Amino acid sequence: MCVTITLFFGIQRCAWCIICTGMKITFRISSLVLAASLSPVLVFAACMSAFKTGYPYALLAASAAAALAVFFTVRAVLSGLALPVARLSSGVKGFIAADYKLESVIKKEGWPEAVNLISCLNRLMLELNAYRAFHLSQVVEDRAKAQVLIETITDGVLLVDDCGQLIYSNQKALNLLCIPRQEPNIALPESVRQEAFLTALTGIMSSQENNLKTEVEIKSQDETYSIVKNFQVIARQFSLATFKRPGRVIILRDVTVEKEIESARETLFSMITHDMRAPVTSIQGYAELMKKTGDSSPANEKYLEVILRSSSRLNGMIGDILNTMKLEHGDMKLSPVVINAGDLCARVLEIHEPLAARKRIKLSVSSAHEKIEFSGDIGLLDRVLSNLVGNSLKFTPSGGTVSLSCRRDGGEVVFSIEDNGPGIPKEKLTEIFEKYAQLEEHKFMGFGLGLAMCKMAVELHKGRIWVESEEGRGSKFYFVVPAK
Amino acid sequence: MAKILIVDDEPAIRELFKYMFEESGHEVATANNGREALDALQDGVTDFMVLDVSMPEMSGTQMITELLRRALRYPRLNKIPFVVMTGENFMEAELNKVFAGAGGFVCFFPKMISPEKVVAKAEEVLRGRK
Repeated sequence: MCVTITLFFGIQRCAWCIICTGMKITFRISSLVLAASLSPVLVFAACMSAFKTGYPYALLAASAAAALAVFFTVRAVLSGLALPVARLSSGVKGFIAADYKLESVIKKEGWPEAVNLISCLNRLMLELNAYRAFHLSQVVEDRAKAQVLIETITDGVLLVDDCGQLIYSNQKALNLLCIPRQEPNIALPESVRQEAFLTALTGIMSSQENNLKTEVEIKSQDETYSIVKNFQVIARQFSLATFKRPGRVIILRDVTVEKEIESARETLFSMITHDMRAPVTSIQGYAELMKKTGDSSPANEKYLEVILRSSSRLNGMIGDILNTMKLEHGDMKLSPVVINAGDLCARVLEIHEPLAARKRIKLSVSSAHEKIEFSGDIGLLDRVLSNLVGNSLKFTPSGGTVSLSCRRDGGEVVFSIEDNGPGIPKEKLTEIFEKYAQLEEHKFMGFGLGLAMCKMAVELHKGRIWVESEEGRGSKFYFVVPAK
Repeated sequence: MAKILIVDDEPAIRELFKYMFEESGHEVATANNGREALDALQDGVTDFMVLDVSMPEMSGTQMITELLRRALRYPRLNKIPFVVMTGENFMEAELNKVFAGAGGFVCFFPKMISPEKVVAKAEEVLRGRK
């Protein structure tokens, strides 16, 4: 902006200078012409009156004077104006022809007006030249900074336009996709030579989604080992990839180590849970037995109640972990029975009532008057509902409300769990259904498996699960399963 | 007439300032970076200096730090007035620390300012010194 204004005033100054100079030059030439045309007349008159020469001699002297006047006028105009102007125009033309790169300034000569004009244009050319160099060096510097950053990061990064044409990328990305750098007109996904990435990127490029995430497994074989590497491909759309076109940024992130850690964690989890299941079941079983025999004091009765509640919660958690593992590996087999939705809600409500009472949360259930029946795995759906209610109870502060409802909507049964807790940030609404995804403030409050299990269990029932939430106002979780 | 030293690594900018100062009747020397500028200051007489900040080999800030060190032996070096040309993304606080400590520091000019303003400033400073 500043530069533009400066340049504008530079040009304006120059234009004014040209106008003034033009007027001065016109005046100078007219006075020269006037002097030149007057001189023969004066000479003739002088000859006739002062020297009393004859008429023919006077005429001769006058013509000689005229010739001399014309000669000197022409010479003066040539050296003072025509030559400098010719030099000036050839200098400016040369400057333009060399793409505003100034080799040398124009020599100052001729009349003061010409000198002034040359000096003005010299300054203008020098300024243009300097601004050009300055901006060029700034662009180069900015580019270099971006390049250093982008080449330093360990992820592969690509910027492509809406047609898949590569706009910018780092070397790492090209290496991963096996695209030679010198290749002209790189386009995604056509130029990708790495098969697994090709499949993933073909899917991403044909999708209209804003944010996409997929995983790619790459197997490579060297002399002794076969190596498996896991990559996460993240694609985000931008309305402006360059100043002219929309496009997207694609990140190729090596998550091999994360995968290994995850798998180690899973193995550990499943080992612990398997081994824990038997003792917890026997605690629960014997506690139930003791309660049934009914020969304990009222105090012991209360303790037994607590043991039962805790062991059943623990059993539920263990079940969730094992279910998650099974669902993830596709080993889960549904054992469908006819479920009464109202009864299911009532049972989950009953289990959670003691916890709600302790936190002074109003827990309620509202279901349609009609009987809603559908077919599903009761054990799994019980866990889904329990998890959602349990979460709401966990995050809603004392004095809040949690309400559970179910209704039939066309061919679907809709369950919803609403609370007036802290709510969930907008950008986390889908992320929370991923495994180990926990809101930053809820770290260390559980494993982060509950919602992932709910999602997988509902999807196995060919249903859907989602959440609507407003931060500070509360959340409403929904899940639907087919009524038949 | 004064002796002006233009220090900038960009030839086009050096040429522009050289022309503008010469138009105003001054004698101009140029230097490509801080090191050349120090040599020029040490060897000859300089009345005023226009200094760029970011330059290869020796930047404007490095040069002034070195100049202050040398000024302990040659006090006249610390008396030469100079203006500093800064790029778009300069950190004023950082630069102030270095330049404000120099005896000859006059002011900052953002790049690219009209060279006439720099010439006018130089002449104002030089008139004041006489």
